[in-house]
Amino acid sequence: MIPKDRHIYSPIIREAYDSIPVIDWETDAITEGIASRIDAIMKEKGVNKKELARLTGRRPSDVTRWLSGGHNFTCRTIALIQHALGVSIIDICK
Amino acid sequence: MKSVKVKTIEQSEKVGLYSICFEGNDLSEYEKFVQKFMNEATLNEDFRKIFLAINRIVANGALERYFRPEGRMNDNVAALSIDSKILRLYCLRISDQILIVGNGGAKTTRTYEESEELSGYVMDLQKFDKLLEQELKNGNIKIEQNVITGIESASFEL
Repeated sequence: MIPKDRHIYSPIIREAYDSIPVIDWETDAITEGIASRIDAIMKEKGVNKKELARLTGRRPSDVTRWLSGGHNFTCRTIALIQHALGVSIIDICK
Repeated sequence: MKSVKVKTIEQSEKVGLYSICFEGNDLSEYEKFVQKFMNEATLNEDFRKIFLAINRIVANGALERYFRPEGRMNDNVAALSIDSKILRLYCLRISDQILIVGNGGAKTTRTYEESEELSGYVMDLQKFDKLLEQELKNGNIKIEQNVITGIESASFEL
């Protein structure tokens, strides 16, 4: 699946895009969405990686992974982060 | 001394993605990495994570949160920050809009420095980083947002 508005100059890279399963693209959109939301809240509240690590009781390297955009979060980790930041990360449709 | 050129791999509104290509090779270092690991059964999951991370960068920008510094304090060498278990890919993050991707491989030692293969990839990028900086200072090439002007006709001696 080659994203729109993208110029790809290499046949091998085109082939690689097509080799990625659709479910991986969909998973990635969700994980990046969560990471982007955490990053935005951190910036808004002036919380850096070290501080979020302290607030959640996790290592700074864990925070780096959360913000990478590809981390497969558990619900517990999301709960831990939103509790630490005091803001909801995901809105559940009711 | 190895002669190196730069190939444009992908271009989006946000990012210009480039790779280095050694003289005599048809494929750039990033294309070699992709060709090697795309169909490699044992590392395929890691490969997909890395490839999706590159896609994220091309879509959203080479944002700091997508990387972790890997070289020395005074260079631009970075590794992608991913949940990858073994596979690593090294790159030069020049700005939020320019990324130069190198090669990578399976990290089976504690640090990349202990691996001859991986440290070789990092050293190639470190040397290239210095030469690129020099050419930018000299005005032979220019960075204009997500494009490096004049880069494809330039040749670098690593």
